[in-house]
Amino acid sequence: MSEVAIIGAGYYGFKPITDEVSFREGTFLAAMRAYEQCNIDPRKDVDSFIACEEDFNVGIAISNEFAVDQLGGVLKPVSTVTSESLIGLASGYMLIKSGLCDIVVVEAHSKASNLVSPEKILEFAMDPVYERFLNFHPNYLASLEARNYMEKRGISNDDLALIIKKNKENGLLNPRASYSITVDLEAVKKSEKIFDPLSEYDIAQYTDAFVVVVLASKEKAEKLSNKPVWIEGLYWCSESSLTPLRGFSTNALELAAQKVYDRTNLNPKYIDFFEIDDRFSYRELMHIEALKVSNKDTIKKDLREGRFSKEGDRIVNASGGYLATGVPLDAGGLARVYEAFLQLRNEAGQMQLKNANRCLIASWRGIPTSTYAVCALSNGA
Amino acid sequence: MTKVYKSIAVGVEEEKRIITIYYKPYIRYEFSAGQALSRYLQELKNGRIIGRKCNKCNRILVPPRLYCEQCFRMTDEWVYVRDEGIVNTAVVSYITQDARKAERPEVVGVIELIDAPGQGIFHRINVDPKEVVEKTVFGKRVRAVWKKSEERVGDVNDILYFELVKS
Amino acid sequence: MKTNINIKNRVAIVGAGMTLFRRRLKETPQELAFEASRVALDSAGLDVKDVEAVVIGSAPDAFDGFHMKGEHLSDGSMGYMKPVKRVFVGGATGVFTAIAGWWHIASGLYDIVLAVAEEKMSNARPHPQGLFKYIWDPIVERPLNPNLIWIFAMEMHRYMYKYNIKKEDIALVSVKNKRNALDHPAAQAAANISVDDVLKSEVLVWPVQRLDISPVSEGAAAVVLVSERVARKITDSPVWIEGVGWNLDSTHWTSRELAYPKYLEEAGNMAYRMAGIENPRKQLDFAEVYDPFDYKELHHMEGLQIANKGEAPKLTKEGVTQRDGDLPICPSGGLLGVGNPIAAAGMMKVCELFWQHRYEAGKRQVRIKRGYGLAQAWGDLMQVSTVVITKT
Repeated sequence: MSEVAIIGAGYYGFKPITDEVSFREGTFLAAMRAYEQCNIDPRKDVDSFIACEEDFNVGIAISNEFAVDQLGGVLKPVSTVTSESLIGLASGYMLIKSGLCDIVVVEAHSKASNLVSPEKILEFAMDPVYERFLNFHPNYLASLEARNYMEKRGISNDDLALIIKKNKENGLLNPRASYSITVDLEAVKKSEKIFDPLSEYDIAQYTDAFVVVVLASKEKAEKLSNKPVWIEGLYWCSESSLTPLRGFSTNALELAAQKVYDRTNLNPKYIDFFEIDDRFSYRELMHIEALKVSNKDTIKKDLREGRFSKEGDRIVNASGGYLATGVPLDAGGLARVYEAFLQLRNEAGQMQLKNANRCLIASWRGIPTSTYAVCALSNGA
Repeated sequence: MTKVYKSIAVGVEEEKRIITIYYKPYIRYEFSAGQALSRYLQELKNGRIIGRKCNKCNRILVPPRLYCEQCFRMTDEWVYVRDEGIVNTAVVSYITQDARKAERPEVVGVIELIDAPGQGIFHRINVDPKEVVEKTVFGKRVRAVWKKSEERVGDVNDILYFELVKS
Repeated sequence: MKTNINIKNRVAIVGAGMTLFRRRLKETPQELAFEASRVALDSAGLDVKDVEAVVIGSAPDAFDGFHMKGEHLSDGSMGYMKPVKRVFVGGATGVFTAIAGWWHIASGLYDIVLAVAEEKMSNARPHPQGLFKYIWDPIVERPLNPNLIWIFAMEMHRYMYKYNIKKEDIALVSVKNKRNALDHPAAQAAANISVDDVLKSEVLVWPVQRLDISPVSEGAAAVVLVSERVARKITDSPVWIEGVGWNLDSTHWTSRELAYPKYLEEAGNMAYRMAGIENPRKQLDFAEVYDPFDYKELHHMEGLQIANKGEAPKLTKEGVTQRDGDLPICPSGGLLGVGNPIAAAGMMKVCELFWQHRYEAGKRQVRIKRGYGLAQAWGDLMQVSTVVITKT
């Protein structure tokens, strides 16, 4: 049995625009919901708070300054992890494992609707010597990568359309999936390639979302929650932020997944469902391979046979993934934790999967990074 | 001892022939002010200062917040407060935002509002810099001087500055 | 009396390194991080292959000119194909980077972690000061065109007003630290100056004058942290991290009492409790207190309960805080003397703990009598403090 559990989770938003709240107000509403779920008072019960945010995504040069009041963290150990929110979750996990803290709150949010030109912010993440001067939309890196991958595997746009249909339609049952629609395969196939070979359908859009998760030590979790969700293992890894240096690989994800499998004595067979990054349709396949849910020889066959669908034997993105919910910037990892939390507690309503006892979550920070995090969750059954 | 010197004597100062790459980021935001600050800005346009009250700790928060950070709960009601306060701290700035010499000195500080104890507004104070240097301005009562109503747009600059209340 | 019985794994510092601190260096951000990391690993006798995880600390992305600066720094910080994480608490980041490294090992998940802090401030043109506009609230503060120095000046003046402190007493800190830095081989702003020099220097934002402030710098610093098991194997003189503490106060600084850093008292208490320190004034041998401005050293001594409220200037005047005094403060020369590449400056203080405890500080060496040292940093909107306590 693990030593750290998730005992509460709350959200606000998951809409393309949330003009009715500031990012602080949205986070407050999410935090309130998370605390209510496990019946804690943040002013008394919480030992530390972690906010996951990037300055340029928030629009404030030291975003940590503005992370505290809305979480109930005033005059408490509060800090910022400027990374994917699963890596923030890992920090909370370690704080509890060290014995220093019993209850830790992890927060992440996206107010992507505040960004006038998100692609220009991404360009600012690229190397000034080797990449920025090209003056191209960062999604061209995805377009190159997609072409490279599709050639290697013999995958066509028709195959990618299957992923689009699966995820966008899975999302129809998910109240957080603002971008879910019923998909006409023929229409997808005909749609214009905006980043050849990718069309608008292949690229997940941004969304506003606020997610707050409460972690607790084993002792506290068993006292405060009758349905704790256990963190069985997690790992994160970066290769290099410079595409020319690393090529189109997901080596870092492969390593992270292997570390989690090794530490937990698990392999993909023991996992009931997967929540993984699909901000580009083809990326879902690359990530599936890196997690060893399929491999380079079988991936095309597995996809066409529908093995990754809700009816399949390796369920991937039953929530609808980013293609259906949108990408909530660095809150993506925690957003997936929220989806898994519901499934593992049997609280996912119409989305509920049968026998959902163990989930593997894999997140990526998107272009141009090679930073991934992997986390295994279980309900202890 | 030698260890230390080995440990730190690295790094080379910039030379003239180092190549620099010019890049100007295009980064723009449209911030949602949110429920509390939107009302605050609207009321500034009306020439009034408004706060939110927490009925648990009975504090009036200015600028208003949707939540009370001490009690961690939603604040309860809107309360107008007078545009008058006490100077909590003040300084004289001789430089601009990017550290160049300013054309003329500017006094800024924190004004603790009479009607919202413990809550301050950060703004310009129109007072002789000498009063700041001699610290005589501390504790003095000041009042907001507003732009003309037709010039107000719903921005903190709708208040021109605070000035001493003549007694 | 020890109170950190809950902490499962002890953590030691076994290596430290830093680059020169200068206004402009020719290295890129990754190269600076690499240099500091390499030296730190060398001093620990470890190789890049031994490093299991990396923690990066760096202040606003805008200085270096990168969105997602942590990603950009990761391969330069020996993080290739490793778990890399960047932490950020404004100016307090440097010390916090070591704290984050501490929890990696204390959790039992890792044995060898590299903590690197880097800052490249000359990339921002025309002046990095301009970027500080973006640390203010975009709606209620930025429209007033604030300058960074304003907030410090407001805090300093409130402190001076509340406790009736004179500028010439505050200036003693600048004089002491710049002189201490004469013995630091990486220092940028070491000098022999007088109180008069400080008082006659250019007034920027009254009461802040040119020589009250640390310089704009760039550079990097790093420490190697290991578990007890590894420490016992590779060194005879590990420096143990006995206490960590951090604390963040409300964003709404206009509704706080600026004369006293309550958040630092809380952060200090957290670290003292862990280390079993009951009387810091009596039990600490030296402290690397955060000194980006001269008054901050005094302010922080009070928050850390080394001095009573309003009495830190008295201790300074009496010479207690000199390198040969009873409780040396900033024997390194601090930010005022060595330089202030934001996150790297905080990490430089942690490096100083390592060198002082191991009697490797050369002419900067203080006497280690009771065994405890402390490093502290501070940041955000006068809002956050981070504290590390070490023991020989």
